Amino acid sequence: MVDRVLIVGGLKVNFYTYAGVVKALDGIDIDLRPNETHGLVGETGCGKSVTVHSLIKLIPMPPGKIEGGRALLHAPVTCRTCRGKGCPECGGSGTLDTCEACGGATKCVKCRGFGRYKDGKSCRTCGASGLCASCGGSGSRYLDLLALSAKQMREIRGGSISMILQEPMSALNPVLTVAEQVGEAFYYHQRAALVHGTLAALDRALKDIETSRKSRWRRPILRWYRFLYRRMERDPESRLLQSLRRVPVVRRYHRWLAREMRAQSLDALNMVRIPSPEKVLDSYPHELSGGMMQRVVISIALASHPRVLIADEPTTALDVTIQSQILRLMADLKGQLGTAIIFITHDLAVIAQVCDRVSVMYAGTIAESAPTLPIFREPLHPYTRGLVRAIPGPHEDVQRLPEIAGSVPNLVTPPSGCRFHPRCPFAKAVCKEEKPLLLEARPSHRVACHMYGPYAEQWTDADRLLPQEVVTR
Amino acid sequence: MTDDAIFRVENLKVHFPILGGVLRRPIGWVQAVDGVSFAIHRGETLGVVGESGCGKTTIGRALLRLVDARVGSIWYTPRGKDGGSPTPIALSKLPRRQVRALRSKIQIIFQDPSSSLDPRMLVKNAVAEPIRIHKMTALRCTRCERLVPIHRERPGATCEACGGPTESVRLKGADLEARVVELLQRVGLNPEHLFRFPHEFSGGQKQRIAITRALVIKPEFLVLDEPTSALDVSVQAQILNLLKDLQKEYGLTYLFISHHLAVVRHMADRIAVMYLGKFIEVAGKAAFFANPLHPYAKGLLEAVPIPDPERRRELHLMTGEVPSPIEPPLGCRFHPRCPVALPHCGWEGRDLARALEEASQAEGSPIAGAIEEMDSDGFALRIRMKGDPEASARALEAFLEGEKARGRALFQAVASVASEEGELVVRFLKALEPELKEVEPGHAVACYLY
Repeated sequence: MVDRVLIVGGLKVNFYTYAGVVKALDGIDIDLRPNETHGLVGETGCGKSVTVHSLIKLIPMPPGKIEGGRALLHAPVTCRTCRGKGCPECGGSGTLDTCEACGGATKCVKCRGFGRYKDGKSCRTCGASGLCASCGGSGSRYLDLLALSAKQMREIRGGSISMILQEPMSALNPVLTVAEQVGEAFYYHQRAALVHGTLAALDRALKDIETSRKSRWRRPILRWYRFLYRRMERDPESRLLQSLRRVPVVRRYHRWLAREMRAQSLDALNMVRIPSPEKVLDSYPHELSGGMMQRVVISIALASHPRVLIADEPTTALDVTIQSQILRLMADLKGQLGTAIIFITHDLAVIAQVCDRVSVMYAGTIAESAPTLPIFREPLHPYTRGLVRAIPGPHEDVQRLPEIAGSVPNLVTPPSGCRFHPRCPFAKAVCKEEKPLLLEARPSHRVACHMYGPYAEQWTDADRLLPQEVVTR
Repeated sequence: MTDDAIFRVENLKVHFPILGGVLRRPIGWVQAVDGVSFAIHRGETLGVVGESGCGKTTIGRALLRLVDARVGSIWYTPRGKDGGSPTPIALSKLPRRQVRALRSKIQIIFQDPSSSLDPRMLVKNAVAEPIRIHKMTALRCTRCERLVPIHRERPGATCEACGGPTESVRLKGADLEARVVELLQRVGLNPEHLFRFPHEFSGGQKQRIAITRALVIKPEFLVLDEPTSALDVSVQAQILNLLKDLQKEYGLTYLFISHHLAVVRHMADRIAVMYLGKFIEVAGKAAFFANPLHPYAKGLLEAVPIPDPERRRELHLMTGEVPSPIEPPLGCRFHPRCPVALPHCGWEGRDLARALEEASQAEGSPIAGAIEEMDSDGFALRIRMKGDPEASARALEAFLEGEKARGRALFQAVASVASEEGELVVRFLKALEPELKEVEPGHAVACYLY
């Protein structure tokens, strides 16, 4: 197993508008580990949604433009020798997982891992990191999401990476039934499994006819269907089948696939614990409540067994009681399917309940990234510290909520250096001039703040306390 | 009761008609608020919490007469003039024209500031508009021509800057602008913001403008309808603190409506929990959070995520969703979702129909395929059988008995099973809706457990 399913590094996105260039993302780094729920938290407009939308190229281009960085999705390929059955060459796993560029050595191919050329110039291929640029230094096979063609991207979206949106009502099509919409997910991303199931059903029907000696006249028709589906199994995009679907009467062969689609959709709805799924399949989105719709959206997102599930504020539009049901459902399903989740929300309480790791975003940058507990117990970045203290808890009384002074900057003219410095109570001259890098301040706790970087000695211990914290100690 | 109640609401019912048919006559009523009584005391904050669609917003709107009550009365007691004793006004029966005059005393702040501000109005005009409409006056120093700050206005007050005598003037021109600037600065905006349009502000700033707009006419009562749910956490903290400060400074009374229990806890003195158009629990803040009594209130409190990763909980979750307020459940409205429901909580035909439908879909169920049609009628359910009616009826009766023995409240509530005209009729114990009852001083709950 690889240690990271998704590596995002230095992602930079600008929007070219009439009001100026909006520097929406300024170097985003995210590492998503397998089977992990990674929270992305921040205020409105800080770029949470832009980050994940640019991963699957859902941002409007133009005005948006991905200026730089990389987004690598772990994508092992089926072993060519054994075709996925498992052989010594692939170690019995059926898949090959070695980076083609570096052959698993993780070194940069251009600078051979030194990060610099002989003349002292930094290697631009690997960004002076010395690590292989095409696999992000992991040695495993990765797919560069930002370099994919539109057609390849279409397969990734809803396939390897799928998404749950905030508003289930606008995520679902109001003029199609639930069955059509869930079935569609299977049709486009699980065609092989569908055809396989259909063939099994046809075989069963044929066997039935043989044994029970009734209505033998259907046999040639079913055999013809079986022929068609076998063809579809070999070539999912077959021209012949696509034309046959337009011919009246002949297109009836599709009913077998539709039946299989419905059966799979029913299973999917059962998985997300929808009561009386048969009834729900035949209803339109407006007949369902918000919580039910969100369950349907989740079942669509999980239909393709995605490697990465992006949940973009999945519970913001729901009531607390429904929210807790949905959060619990997602946690259970994650355990079952082993999907890694990027969980976007502005609600820190939800993060505390569901996430393993958290990245705190501020004005298009990652301020801090760490496991959930340290974020809440010992946040390092001044912004995170303010944010954690500003939440009213349901189980304690405070007279006055501590607030962060000021408001979010305009991203057309973002502050120089650290983007948080105008609001930061600790800011010094260096914060205004130099942009802090996201560096590891403690084991697996990365923070982008000069207080913990190379300039750390400019702050004394007393300097690092917030005014309110001084009072309490 | 003491006489310091600013609002006294008795048996308020707000129903919205569902129109249908050729003549567009009402064919049903959405019972948004269905029999709510409460009092709000001067200077306190009453928090109303509940899920979406439970009618909390409608209560706020009814207090301002933005919607009209179908039944019930709202008594509003304005602050007595010049030490005179306050006289209650029957707000619910007042003609529209007089209600409008009263709105200078009762104001509302809406959830979404971007839609409550006119996009084509400068901040200066938007804030000045209520002053013009209500023809507000102010105290002005006759010597230095400064205004007395709005919260220090008292008859005969002297100028704060120079100590000179004051006179009452209609607010216009420079005075008007001075008043607008005074309040804008109070909520944390600058005079430079006067000549801007709403779209030039962030959400938090827009909400501040909306607050200013409500404050310029010296209200004594504010309905805060989810004032922070469209805002971010850090901005939310700013706005909540501001609202608390303003309450102290200007002596305001709040009705704070929110679905967010943590926010309500921070703001309110007393809390009312609403479910499907009814108050199910009303209590002081400390008593409520220390010991919520109603099962729904308990569930609601448990469903709130805690911002602490070390306190993740396995919840005994409330199942199901809020039923429709068009035909709310009989008896206690919460009984279909209640984890501790008793047989006499108001089980009815619809509940059994749902349970039977689920049971008949389960694999290997003894009653699979036995039911043709079910027709619920209040506390009774008529079941038409499929196939052999007698055998099916026997299977069904056995099923009911079995479930009853297992102790499910729904089946224990069955009063009689009879067969009439080839149909099986299941009747339930009749139950009334529980009334809001005071169990401890100041802690009322509507539940049969107490």
